[in-house]
Amino acid sequence: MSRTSTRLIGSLDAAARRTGIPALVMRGPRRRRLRWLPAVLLLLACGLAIYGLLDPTMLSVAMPLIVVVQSISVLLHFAGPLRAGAAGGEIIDEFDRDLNLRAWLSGFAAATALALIGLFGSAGVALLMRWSPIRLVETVILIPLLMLVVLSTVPTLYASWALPSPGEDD
Amino acid sequence: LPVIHNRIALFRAERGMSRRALADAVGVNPQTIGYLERGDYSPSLDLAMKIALQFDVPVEALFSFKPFEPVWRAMQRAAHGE
Repeated sequence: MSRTSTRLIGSLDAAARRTGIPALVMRGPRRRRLRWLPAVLLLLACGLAIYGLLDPTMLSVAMPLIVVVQSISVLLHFAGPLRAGAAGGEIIDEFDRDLNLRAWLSGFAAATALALIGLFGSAGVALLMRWSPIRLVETVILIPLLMLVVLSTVPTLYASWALPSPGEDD
Repeated sequence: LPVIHNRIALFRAERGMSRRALADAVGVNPQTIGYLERGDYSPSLDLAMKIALQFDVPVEALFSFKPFEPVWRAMQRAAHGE
């Protein structure tokens, strides 16, 4: 590898370290419960969506804010109890695999329920309230945004509440 | 789901083994041993057999659907020759 390539890769590594995300992934112990942060982010996203639905002129503000909430909630996977791999030299055992499975299933179930309720609900309301096609499209765009927030927050929320307290070590 | 009772803490104490040592021996996180001992988690057959093998006892000596008899009662029974 040339000297320029080595220097470039080194500077990219340094830039990645400055984000703090590698440190979050490497530090232990990883069975940290995050019981309130995902709930706050989820409620914030739902509140913004409801606000945007009630006042369509505010949708252009609500949508970017939901994207910001989603971007923050993605970090929950690094900081919370869900462990994707053997980070920091810790063992990922059957307990973690079982918890991850149940947490992701709950996330997918919540996102599916939201999609069904959102699609049929918005179609029903559009018929009843005689919404314009533009209004209906704007509302439907909110559904995948909210689904992303649900997929980022619900698994961490489930795992945090399902995780027993660590107890005393000997 | 049925509750699975266990005597891991008793066997561990009797052998003077820490949670970390047992966890390392069976390839799990030490917190998982804590969850098992407190009944917060029921192990897979694979893990149950590994723990039993570690203590060199049959798996039914460590795990049971019925609560295990307390040690003091077993000793009392033995003392009275029952």
